[in-house]
This record gives sequence, structure tokens and C-alpha cells, in this order.
Amino acid sequence: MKLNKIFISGMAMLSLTACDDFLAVDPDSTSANTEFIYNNEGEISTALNGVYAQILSGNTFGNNLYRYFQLNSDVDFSTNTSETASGNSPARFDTRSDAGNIKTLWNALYSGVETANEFIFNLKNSKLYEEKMKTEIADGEDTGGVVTEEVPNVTKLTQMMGEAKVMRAMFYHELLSYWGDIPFTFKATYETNNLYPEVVDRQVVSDSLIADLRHAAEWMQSDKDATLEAPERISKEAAYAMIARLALQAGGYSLNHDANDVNGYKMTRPSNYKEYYQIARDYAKKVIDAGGHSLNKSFRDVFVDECNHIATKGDDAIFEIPFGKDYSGAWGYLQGPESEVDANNETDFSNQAWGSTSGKVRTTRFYRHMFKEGDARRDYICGTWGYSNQGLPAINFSYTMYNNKWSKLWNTVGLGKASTGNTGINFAYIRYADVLLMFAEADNEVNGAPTQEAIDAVNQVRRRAYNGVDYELTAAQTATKEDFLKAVLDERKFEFAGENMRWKDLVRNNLYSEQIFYTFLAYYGVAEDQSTGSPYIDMISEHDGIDYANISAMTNIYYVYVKNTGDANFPNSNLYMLYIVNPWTSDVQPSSKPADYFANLGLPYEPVSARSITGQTSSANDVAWGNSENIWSKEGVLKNEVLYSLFGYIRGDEDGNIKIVNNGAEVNFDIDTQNPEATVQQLPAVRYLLPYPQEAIARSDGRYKNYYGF
Amino acid sequence: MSVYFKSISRTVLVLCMLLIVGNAYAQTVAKGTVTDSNGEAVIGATVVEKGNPKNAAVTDFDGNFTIKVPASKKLVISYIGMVTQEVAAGSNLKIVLQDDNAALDEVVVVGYTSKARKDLTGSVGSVSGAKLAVVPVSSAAEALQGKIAGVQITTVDGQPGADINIRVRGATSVTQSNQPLFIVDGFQVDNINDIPPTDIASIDVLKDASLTAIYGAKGGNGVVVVTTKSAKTGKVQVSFNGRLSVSSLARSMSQMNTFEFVDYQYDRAAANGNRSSWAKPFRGDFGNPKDISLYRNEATRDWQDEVLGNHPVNYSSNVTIGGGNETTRFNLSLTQSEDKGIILGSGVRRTNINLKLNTKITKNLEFTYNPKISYRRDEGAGGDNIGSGGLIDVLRYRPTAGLREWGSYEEMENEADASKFRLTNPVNDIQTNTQKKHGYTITNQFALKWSPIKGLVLRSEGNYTLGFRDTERFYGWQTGMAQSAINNSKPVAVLNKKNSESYTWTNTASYDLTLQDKHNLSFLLGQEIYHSQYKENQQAAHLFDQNIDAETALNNMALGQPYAEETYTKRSTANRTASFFGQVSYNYQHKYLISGTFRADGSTKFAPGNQWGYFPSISGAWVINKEKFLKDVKWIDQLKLRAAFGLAGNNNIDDDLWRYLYTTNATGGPAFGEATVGGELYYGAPGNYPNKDIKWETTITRNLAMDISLFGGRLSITPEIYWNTTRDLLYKSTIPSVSGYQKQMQNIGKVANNGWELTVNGDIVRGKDYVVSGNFTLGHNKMTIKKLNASDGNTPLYNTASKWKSSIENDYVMQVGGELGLFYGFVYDGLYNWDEFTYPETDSYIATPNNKATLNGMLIGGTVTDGYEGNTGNGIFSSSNSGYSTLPGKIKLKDLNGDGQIDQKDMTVIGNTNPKWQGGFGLSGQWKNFDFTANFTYMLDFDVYNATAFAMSSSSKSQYNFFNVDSKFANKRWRYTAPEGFVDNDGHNITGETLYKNIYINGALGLYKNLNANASLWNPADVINNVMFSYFVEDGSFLRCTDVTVGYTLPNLITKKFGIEKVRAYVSASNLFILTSYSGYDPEVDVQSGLTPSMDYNRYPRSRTFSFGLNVTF
Repeated sequence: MKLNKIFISGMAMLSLTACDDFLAVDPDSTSANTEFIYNNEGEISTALNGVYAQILSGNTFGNNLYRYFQLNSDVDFSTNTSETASGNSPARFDTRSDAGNIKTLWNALYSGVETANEFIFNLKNSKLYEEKMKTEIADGEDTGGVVTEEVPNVTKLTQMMGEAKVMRAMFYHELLSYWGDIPFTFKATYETNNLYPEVVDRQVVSDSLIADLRHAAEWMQSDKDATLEAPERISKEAAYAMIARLALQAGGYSLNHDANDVNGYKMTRPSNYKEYYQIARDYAKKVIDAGGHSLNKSFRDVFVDECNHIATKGDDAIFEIPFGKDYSGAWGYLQGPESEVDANNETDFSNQAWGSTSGKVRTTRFYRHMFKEGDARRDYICGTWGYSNQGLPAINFSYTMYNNKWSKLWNTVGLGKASTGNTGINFAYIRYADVLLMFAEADNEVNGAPTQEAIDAVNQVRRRAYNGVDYELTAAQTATKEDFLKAVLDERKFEFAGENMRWKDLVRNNLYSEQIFYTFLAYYGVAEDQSTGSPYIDMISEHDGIDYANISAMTNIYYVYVKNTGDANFPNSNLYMLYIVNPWTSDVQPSSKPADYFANLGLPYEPVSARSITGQTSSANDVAWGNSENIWSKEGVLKNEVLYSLFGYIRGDEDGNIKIVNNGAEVNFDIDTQNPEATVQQLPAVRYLLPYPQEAIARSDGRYKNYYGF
Repeated sequence: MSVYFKSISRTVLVLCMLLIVGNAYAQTVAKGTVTDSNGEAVIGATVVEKGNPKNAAVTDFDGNFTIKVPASKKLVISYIGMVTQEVAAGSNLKIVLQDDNAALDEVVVVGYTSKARKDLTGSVGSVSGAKLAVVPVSSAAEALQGKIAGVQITTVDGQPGADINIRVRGATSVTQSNQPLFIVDGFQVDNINDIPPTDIASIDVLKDASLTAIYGAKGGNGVVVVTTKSAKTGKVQVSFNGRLSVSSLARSMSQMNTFEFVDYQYDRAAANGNRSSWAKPFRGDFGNPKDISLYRNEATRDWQDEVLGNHPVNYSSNVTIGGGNETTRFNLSLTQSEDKGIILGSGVRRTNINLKLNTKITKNLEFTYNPKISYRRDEGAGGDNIGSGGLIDVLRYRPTAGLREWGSYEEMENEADASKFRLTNPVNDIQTNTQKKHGYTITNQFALKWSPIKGLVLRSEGNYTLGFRDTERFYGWQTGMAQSAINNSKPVAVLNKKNSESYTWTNTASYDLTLQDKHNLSFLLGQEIYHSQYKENQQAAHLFDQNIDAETALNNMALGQPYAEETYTKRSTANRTASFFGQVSYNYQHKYLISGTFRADGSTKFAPGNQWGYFPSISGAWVINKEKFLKDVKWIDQLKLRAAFGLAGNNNIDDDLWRYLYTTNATGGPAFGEATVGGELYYGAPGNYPNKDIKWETTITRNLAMDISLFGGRLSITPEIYWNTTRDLLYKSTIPSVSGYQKQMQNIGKVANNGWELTVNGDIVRGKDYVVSGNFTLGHNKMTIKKLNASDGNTPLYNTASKWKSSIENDYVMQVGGELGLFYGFVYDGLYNWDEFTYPETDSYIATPNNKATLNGMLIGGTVTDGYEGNTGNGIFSSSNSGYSTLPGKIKLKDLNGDGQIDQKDMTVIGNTNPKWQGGFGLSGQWKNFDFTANFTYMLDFDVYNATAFAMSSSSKSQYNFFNVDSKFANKRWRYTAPEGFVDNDGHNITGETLYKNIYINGALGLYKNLNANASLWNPADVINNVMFSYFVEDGSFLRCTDVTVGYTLPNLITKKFGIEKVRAYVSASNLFILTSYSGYDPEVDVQSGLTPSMDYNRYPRSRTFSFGLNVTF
């Protein structure tokens, strides 16, 4: 028994003392822990890459935001044929809290916020950071925008801190844009272990973000600094521009709910909105004054270079999202001409080094007509044909037009036959042109009238657009504050197609419902005009400055395939182009001898030898305008694309009624064609905001609630 | 017994006796009678002089024997199926042999010690090695099937060497592994798949917590204890077991023949409104549809037969050498087996070398050393990966080579383009898509046992295992892997090496004592540590020459280019457990028994502070038949009431879920300067939000049972009831995504398993030289989910199987109050019939639903399937080629909520995968030297989703894929085109015309209606998305004859002449038949495993095997 006791107690003692050590295991190589990463500058940079990876994600800036969440306007447009609510079409204001795509976006943006919060928290608590900079930098989050007086000592670590903070602001900026008031925190979840941050008023969120960035920006490197990989990395100028963007949004109108009414909504702006415009003006000015940017490259080259994976310092791009070829970004896949490749029938066309593109990001059918003659942006941006899986041009000229700003077809070497998305084409999230125009808009608001400085800023953008010829704003455009605001917004309209800007510009200036109304009416009117004649033609023509009757009167379009012998508007010199012979001006059948006809027009013409192309001009008979049954309408019933593409705000029905959605109720809407302004006065606000996802509400333990009638 | 047999026996017997007498030399003459416990004479029992096996006799018809032995020698009397006895030689011996089945003194290994079965207070199910030995199976686990009540054993599928799922009393955990703990010869091992069945002496399954609690966490799902054969003291014994077997596919699927197939493909191609784009590839491949009758003369290639129709010959051989003296004993076993699969190129080869060495260093110090080496080679990529798309692509592969080999598209201008047609077939695919795994496991086990004083045993044992596994994978150019953009249709080769090490070190002290001959006490105290870790190293190359063969590529990786994304090394976080345990047992005269256990486990799976779990248990038993009032009832051998209550833990979750660790991502990061293809390395957030607070999942088991043994052990009955509750269920919960994360491992939820079991063993008939015994088990388990997710309340949770999923992906539902494994989907309601539509002439006879709501009913909201296109892709059959989803002849799903739309709101529970009843029964018997065994298993009342049938009833989105379908669609499907020889109202042959909406043929609408008057099935062309609906939920109830074996043992007296102790030859059939209404290969697919059980898709079909074997003992 004695032996027994000795043995057992000995054994127990031995193992007890060893036990805690035995159970303390470190992860070896599968993953890295905080302590390891944040004690090494190189590793911290790798961790920052993790924040960048969040903005590269297809669920955020890589695809989703510019595809499904680019809300319809007079510029960006996607059609929809469903005559019932689907709940998952944000572009037509048809959303429901249980829609999958809303949840996906919400999750991705908050995942981005958390990754940035986590990085910022750990960097702040890093020994490296503390030792070197404890005395030099304070936590900017609570300073309320007070910029410290001392001269900042910019280091690699403060620069990285700034980059993370700008990206955090990018996520919150989108959350503010789509949801208004949002759950908000600067604290990492792992720091607080709080899974449900409180919903915070959008103004408070904006204030915090602006204060945070104003502070952080001072410790960032200028993009003139050769060691900074600008424009693919976020620079001080990018941070300034982001402040301007946030401030402009904060000072602008947005959809607000009544505290006591979960269904009601209206457009309001903060009472101190001018303070925000002042901040926007000042920070845009800081970028301009820094002098690191110009608009030297032509408009076309800015984008074609991006498509060729060339990032240029000091030109238009201030911050380009650094997508990686074959791994991220759908830019140039979503945009540009559609190119079908049937994966199951890999037809090997030697000229098809580009793979497939979807071409789903498009503009309205009428966008092209809004440009003034001489604006070089028009023929570059507006695309009318795509490619069949035979590699041949196919006219696709229906309710929308391709947005040819970016296309993987512009890449001179091609991305490979089997390539689809993941083009790696960068997207210039912040452009100098945007900064100039933000400056003009803010300055105009602050001063109550256009200043010369503001006019110069706009003209700088216009000079590039018009290739330096006859570009300056007219006196009428700069006569009053209102005229100038319209000029600035118009310039933004032509400059930023596909960049998810237009609807935000309209919301900010409380013009969204008016413009959506007119966009709907343009489609409706043209379709109706073709079919039975429309009373709205004059009204819409007047508003948009386009001769809509001319568009609806067209019956046939004649076009021909030719080799690209140097059309700068179509950057791919290997693919066949499609020349439209009578673009929107005439329905006269061209000569039966196309070569002569083209020669007369001074157009290059070289018949294609492939058997499917006869060398004859073709007419697009499914784009026949004015027939009793055509793409716009079917025997007096307008096409669904016309009726339902703005479903959640305004829609038609098969019986010829136009209905508008007001506070969730669908009401017949009377349009006084004689008094359009009075009609516009009757328009309710557009419910462009999205509902919180059902799941977020269900799991919030009652903290979150949907308003706006969701 | 007939007179005829008697006379033969008598003759043989006399001859035998003459032989013996001839060999014997005269000394003392021992005489006696051998009877069984009922007083019946035992005929043919062997009586041997101890230590001199050559001197032997057998009993005659009256059980009498006579043998001459030296005076002081003992006699050993043995008979098959009875307990061997030793007696001193005498002149009037009365020997009563006890039946082996009634061996209540049998020792059972339970929790670091062993106990006599009569003293058990917990629930143990056992199978003896003798029972296992007679049935040829390739693994121990397989042999257990249906033999122990409440223990459910299923193989994942029919692949040789497939994983075996063992569930003891249902699944206790919702999400985590429910695999029991395996103990082999006292040492913990990961699985028992690789133990040669011939090595096994016995298997015990410990079922309730009173027995498993001593193993703590690991025992939470039950414990399977395997004891392998040890050598006995005495002369060296050599035995040989050999087996040769042939297997074949047990069932096969029906497919269309060449003509039916081409006819259907045309129907599909032309059903599309846009004929040119679909009919063109059809013509390219199959020629002019007007010439379709040519295919009547074309041969049908049965790919199922070519790939699965093999009859592989397999073998298994085992040699065991054992022996030793008083101090040292050894047992060496060498096993070599090969199990080729019925799928071309698949199979397992195993080599096992096991040595058991036991030596007494001093009188009370004993040392055991068991080194084991096993080698295993797996070939074939499995049911998922054979060919280019798994087994299903073999089944769907076109039965005709057709004209495709010679046909051409317009654009094809040179021969090189021929490769675009992917001239291949499933057999070729298998040859270019290979996987070979080599695994070596080296196990060293040692134990030191010291008994310093009587009753006290101190034992220290250790187990050190090294595992080396190589996987060589080659993806031919047509596999999905090679077809991705980055691989550019070029082959990929991957070499993966995984080295693992694990050790266990256990120290125990046990002390037994008996006071006043009445109070029996035993104590156990112990401590244990466990560690396991692995290192993995993967090398990959891609962009090989398209025609390279697997071997060349794998042997010369440099011929390709480094494939950085698939190349990595990693080392796992060590998984460790430290434990302390103790046990006190007491019984009073073996009548009243009580036992208490306590164990503490510390695990690295949890954060410091939550690492330790404490698991007590208590159990008791009352042996009623020892009470006075039953003492005189002769026919009751044992009547024991047992009750147990205990806790067990579960920590079967991934490592490091409690701490924040970043994941390293080699691709997808920012590409600064556009320099880095694929982007720079980055640290990403952990996939799951870490939870510092996770702790042990605990199962409370409660168990009440009776052990009844009657009629001298001829009948034993064990009824048991249990009620187990699992709390703090470890579940990967969904958390508010505002936190930046979506999932977190949490202790949430509660699950209860209630059930009962019945085991009956008995000798049905027993005579002098024959015995037939049977066993029967029946189990019923009911699981209820009591609680699921803290913040969700009653919100159901959905799961999706990995092999097959619908486009909605909510294929299984879990809900409080429900069970696991409930199928969730739509209810099939036949086809839309003709009369539900009108066909206005003004609108080209387009079918217009009478009820407009029906037309809207085609969409299902929800999943976005294409990230770019905005294509919600969610119409149930909306992308079908023939128009709206709701047309006559299309599948109709029930609009359960009556809102006129078929959407997710119309989904409901459409099947339950949990068998209501399960168990098995067997018969075994002996007559003279013949033995036979037959075993059956059954599972009743459960559902299987026949996704294979779904695939065989559907088609592809692409007009270039020509998939074969079930032959029942040949004549019963809805047709869109006129079949061969179809004549219109004017007498014209309109073969191949599409009749729907055809305004050019007079009366086409009527013809169309007539054509489909008898159609009872949809056109597979209409099904291109995966949808979960009740048509494919099938009852999986089955009764399987797992094996039938007949053996013959050569008479001892004959074999002895050759120096052979025993020779047995047998023939056996396994998986001989299965009675089931299930229409797939086999209903037993992942039954009750994980969250997504019973999804039958791309499963390796089970084979039927016939074997011939030989057991020889020298």
C-alpha cells in the first residue's frame, strides 16, 4: 500500500507540473498570430495586403458594386423584364430584406470594415508602433477632426495606418450610400467581442470618418514620393480626395426616415451642410494645390492604359484599385463589348486571344445622344456591337449600349482564350477629374456663385474631353450658381459613366426622382411613339436636349464589318469592327455597291472574307424601328424592358397606365405634358436605399430595425 | 439423425480408434463419459493427453472414451463450441462440457483493466474471434455489421478500403465526428480499418458512459475494443489463412440504347424554339435526323459495363506464427491482401506485419512490445473522380460513338481541330486521371507491468505511431482541373506527402482486494497524455504536354511548370490531451455491484481556462438470480439488472478555433506595380471568428438493461433502454455579419437520443453432433433536436451535401423538435396536363395557362448562381429549351402555400434519412465437420435521395453535351418531336417535326396531344437545374445478406498424419443479395453520417463477392 501511494503521488506530481506546459501548444506553420505579425514591419505590410484584398473582392469593388448595385439613372442602366417584384434588383429599386445579393454586399462590406479595424487596432498596439511613434501620433478617432499642430513624422507605419483608414472609409462610404444610418464602429470585433455595433446616424458616421482621415492623412506619403507605389497604393492625396468625397456626401441630400414612421421617407440634408461643402472644397483644393496631377493623357488613353495593366503616376488616376491579373477584378469583363465564348465549343479563332466578356455594365440607349459634338468621350464610351462566339461583330443595339471605357479586348496581348472575369484591370477609384469637379461643385455651393477657380477646374476636365478644341464653358453655363451646378453635374455625367457616380450625384443634389422620372419617360415615350405616337416626346426632348422623335422614327440600320485600320475609338486593331452606315440620321438604303458607298463616305472598307459575311451591308432587321411589332413594343403593348426597368419607383402596365410608387403604395400618375415642372413637383422621393438584410435583423437581438417601409 | 449417417459415422469412428490404438503405448488407462450441461452425451469430443497431442482419443456415440496415459498426466477434453476442460486422468471420469456461449466468466477489456463479464455494470456488446474467423471479410469493422445491437456500421460506399462509419447509439453530436474510440490491445488507435480480421481474437463495444467515462472525452461516442490474438505457451503454432475471391457489380442501372439515345437527343435538340443553334451540334454529331433509323443497326456501347463490369480476382493471405515458453511468448502475423475494385483501375493492396512479444523479466515484472508495420496502397480516384466527371459521367456517356468522330463543324478546317471534339470515352478518361496513394504506418507499443504485491498492478504503457502517406495525383487534360483557365487544358500532376506522428503515454495503478470472501473491491488510478501532429508537403506542376501519361508526368515533374498555387507545406498545430482518471468498483458476493468513475481531460482544442472537462459516472447492477428466491430455478443462468449514468465529452473540432490566427493567402492579394501575377501574399481573417469561450461538449447517458441467460446458456436476451442528452453542442453557428465574420464555433444546442435495443442469442437446435445457433439484434433510436442556435430561436438551419446539391442549396433542414438528416424540397405532383392550358390559334397555339398564376409560378427566388451575369439562374426548369417552365408535359411541383408561385415558400420536409429500425441477424451452425454461417443486416423505414437517378433524368445546359438518360424515358417521356414514322393527318410522314406551336402542319396541336397521350414522364431536356423534389426521394429500407459461408474442417485424425492440426476450407458469398425497393445501386450511402446523409450521387457501387478460402493450423 505504501508503495502504491508513493507511486501514485509521484506520478501525479510529475504530470501535474508538466501539464500546463504540455497543453500550451503554438501554431506552427498553418497560420500566423498577431504577436508575430505586428512585431515585424514586413509582416505588417502583408497584413495590410489583407485589407487591400477586401477591396479587391468580387463582392465589393471587384464586381458587385459596379454590376448589381450601380443604380439606374440617365447614364448607367440595366433593363429588367419582370413584371413582378423580385426583391433582388436594386438597380430598379426593387429590394427586399431577404434578397441574397443584398446580404452578400452587406457581409462583404462589414467584413472589409472589420479587417481594417482589426489591422488598425493591432498596429496601434504594436510595440513597433508604440516605441517609435507614441509621442508623435495620437489616436485620431476621437479628436473630432482637430488636426494636430505638430509637424508629422511620416514613416512606413504611419503611411500603412493611413492606407487602412482610407480603405475603412471606402467601405463605410458605400454602406452610407446604400443604407443611410448604419451599424458603426471603429473598434475591432476581437477587441470588444461585441457582435452588434449600434446603429449610428449617418451624420455622426460621416463626422467620425472625416475626422479620422483628416488626422491620418497628415501622416501619409504624398504620391509624388517616388517610394510610394502610387497610384496603386493610397497616398495622402487619395486620402484628401476621400475626405472631399465623404464631406460632399455628408453635406448633400439623402433619403431619411421619420423617427416615428417606419414607412415614411423624404429627402433631407443636414442644416449645417455648408460646413461639409467647405471641408470638401478645402480638401479638393489641397489635392489641386499639391500639384502632383494633371490631365495630360487623353481620356481614351487613361482607360486603355488601365486595360493594358499600365499604371501611370501623376496623371488622372490618384488611386487605382490594384487588381491582379487572373485573380481579381472583373473590370473590362463586365464593361466593354460583349464577347461570347462557348466553353463547350472551344472554337479556336486565331484572332480570339481575349476570352469571354459579359458586357453587362451598360448605359442607357440615349446616353450617346446627350453628348455635344466634338466631345471625344462619346465615340469612345458608347459601344454598339459585341462579338459572337464565332469572333465576329454582332450588333447589339437594343435598350442599352455597351460602356466601352474598359474592356479586356483593349489589352494588346490578350488575356487568353479561356479567360473570363479576373481581368486584373485596375479601376481608378479616385481620379483627378473627380477632384476638380468636386472642387467646383463645393466651391460653387460655398460661395453661392461660380468663381473663376471653379470654372477653370471644370474647363480643365473639358479641355481633355474636347481634345483642347472649343472646350470652355459658355457664359450661360456659368451665369448663376444653378447654371454652374448644372454644368458641373453634366460634366460628371459625361465623365463618370460606369463609375457608380451618377446616381450618387443626383441623390446629393436631390435630383434623383426628377431624373428617374425623365429616364422612364424617355424609354416609354420613344416606345409609345414608335407604336402609336406618344404625347411625351416633346416633353422629354425638351428636358434632355435630344430629338427623341428622330430616334423613334428610325426603321433600319445599315452596317458593315470592316477590319480596324486605325479607328482610335476602337482600341483593338485585330478584331473586326462594325461600321454603322446611317447612324441615327437616315433610313435610306445605301448603295448596292458598298465599296463605293463607303468610299463616298470616306470610310475605310475591306470586305471580310469569311463566308458568313458577304461583303454586303446588312440591315439589322431585329432592330427595326417603327414596325407594329418591334423591340420596343408588341401590338400596342410596350415591351417589359420599357415598362419595368425602374419598377420600384415608376412603371407602366400593359393597359397603358403609368404608376408611381409613393411610400410603398402604387398609384396612377398623371403627367401634365403642358406643365412638366408642376408634374415634377408631385414626384415622391425615390426609395433608393436598401433594407438591412433579414438575417442581420434576425440576429441582432432586436437592435436593428428596417425603416423606409421595408 | 438418420440411420444412414449413423452407420457411416460408426464406421469412420471405428477406423479412427483403430489408428489411435495402434499408436498408443500402454500405461494407465483412463476412462470416462463426456456430456453437455443437459446431460446429453457429446459425441466426437477430443480427449488428449496434456503436453502430448499425439496421444488422443475421441468419444463414441454414448460419449465414452478410453485412453492410455502416464499416471500423473492430465487430460484435455475439447469440443467445438464448448469450453475446453482439463481433468486428472482417472478410471471413471464424468466430464460436463459447458457451452461456450454461456461463458459468463469471460473476461472483457474495459477501460484500462479487464473484468469478468458477470461483474460488468455497463453495457457491452461483444463478438468473438471465432465468429469473425469463419466469415471472410476484409476488415474488422465490416465483420461487426449487424452483430451488436445499437451499433450501426456502414461503409461509406462500395470502394475497396472505403471508410467505415461506426455509430454507437445514434449520433450524439450534431456537427462533430461521431466516430467511437478504438482501442487495440489496450492502445488507442485512429481506426481499425487496417487490422486483418484474421488477427482478431475478440471485439467488444462499450456502449454506455459507465464504461466509457474512464476514457473521458474520447469515449463519448462509445469505445470499440479489439483484442488481437496472442500466442499461447506451448509449442510453436503456425497457421495459414488464404482466400481467393471474385467480385462483380451487384446491381446495374438501365440506360438508353443507341437508337433510343439518338432519338431522344434529337427530341432535345429540336425542342428548342431556336432550332439552328441546337440542331446544328446534333447534326454535327449524329447526322441528319431523317436518317435516324440507321442507328437501329448501330451497336450500343455499354460504358457502365466497360467501366464497372469487371470481375477482379482478389486474394488475401495470412501467416501467423506463435509460441513461447513460461517467460516469453511471441506472435507474429503477416498479412498480404489485394482488393481490386469493380471500377477499372481501382483497388487497395495491404501488407501488415504485426509482432506481439511478451516476456516476464522477473517474476512480477512483465514487458510487452508490439511493433506493427502496415502498408497500404490505394489506386483510383474514387466514385467522385473517375473519368472526367465522376461515376455519373460514365453512366451518362453517350452509348454511341456516332458520327462525331467523323463529323465536322463548319469552322473545322484542319485535323488539329479534331481534338476540340474531345475524342474520348470513360475508359480513356480513367486512364488519364489517376490517383495512387501509398501509406506506411509504423506503430511501436510497449507496456511495462509490475505487480509488486498481490492485487496491485502498476502499468506504464506507451504507443508511438509514425505515418507516412504519399498521394500521387494526375489530372489528364480533359479533367475539370486541367480545363481551368490557369491550366490551359494541359495536364496537372500533384504529389502530396503527409507525415504524421502521435504518441500516447499511460500510467495506471490498479489494486484488487477481497475482504471476508464477500466484499470485492477494485481501485484504479491513472494518468495519460496524448499528442498528434502532422506535416504536409505538396508539390504540383502543370502545363505538361497534353499527351503525357500519368507515370511520366509524376516521375518527371520538371517536364511541366511549377504550379505555385497548389504547392505548399504546412504543419498542423499539435493536438494534445492530458488526462487523470480513477475508478472504484465494489461488489458484494458478485450479487450487488457498484462502480464509480471519474476522469478529467485537458485539451488543446480549447483556450486555457476552458481546457479541462470533468466526466464522472456511476453504475450499478443487481444479479437477481443469485438471490435466494431464484437460486433453485435451474433454467435461469443469469438474470441481471443494470443501470448506469454518466457523462462523456467531445472535442472533435478543428484546432485553434479559440484563438485569432490569420490565414496566409498566396493569391488574390493586391498586385502593386502590376508586377506580381496573382497578387501579393496577404494575411486574411480566420475563416471562423475565434471563440475564446468554447468548451467541451458533454453527453449525459442514462441506461437501463437486463442480462438474461437461460437454459444453460442456450438462450440469452439483453434488452436495454437508454436516454442520452448532449448539451453544449459544438456547432459552427452563424453570427451577425456586422461583426465582420459569419461563422463561429459555439457551444449551442442540445440533442436527445432515446431508444432501445434488443439482442437475442440462442442455440436453436442442438444435437449430439450438430448445433444451429442464431443471433438477432434490433435497435430503435430517436433523435430530437432540443435547442439549436442561441440568437435564432426557432429559425431552421439548412445544409447542403458536398456531392450533389440543388441550386437552392437548402437540401436538408434542421429545426428544434426535429431530427437531423431531413430532406427539404418540393413535392412532386406529376406533370402539367394538357387540360390546364388553352391553345389560342391567334397566338400560334402557344399554351396559355388557364390560371395565370401558374405561369408566374416558374421562378424561385434566391441564389445567385453566376457572379457576373446577374443571372439568378433560379427558375426550376426555366432555362429549359422548350419555352416556359409551365407547359403541358413539364414537371409540376405542389404550390403548398397556394400563392400561385412555386418558390422557396413551397418547400417542405420531403424525407427522413434516419432508419426507424435497424439491426441484423445471423445463423451459424455445425454438423460434424461442416460449419456454416449466414449473416443479414437490415435498416427499415428511411429515405435516400437518388441524385444519381436525378442526373439520369436530366440534361445539360449546353447543346454540346449529349448525356444519356434512364431507359425508362425512351417510351414514357413527353415528346416534342414526331418519332420515326409518325404520320400527319394528311398521311405525310413527318418524322422529326417539332409539333408544339407548329403552324405549318395541319392539326399539329391534335397530333401533339395524341403523341403524348401516354406520356407519364417528363422530357429530360426540361430538367437542367438541380432541384430537390420528392420524386427522387426513395424508401431505402433493405435487408442485405451480407455473407453466407460454408466451411469444412478435415477430420483431425487425418490431418494429424501430415502434422497439421487443423484444415478448414470454405466457400463464401458476400453481399449475396439485397432486398429493397430502392432503385439505385445501393441504399446504404452515408446513412446517418454527418449533417447531409443518404445523398446517393457518384458513389462507388457495392460489389458481390464470391470467395474460396483455406485456414490451416500446424
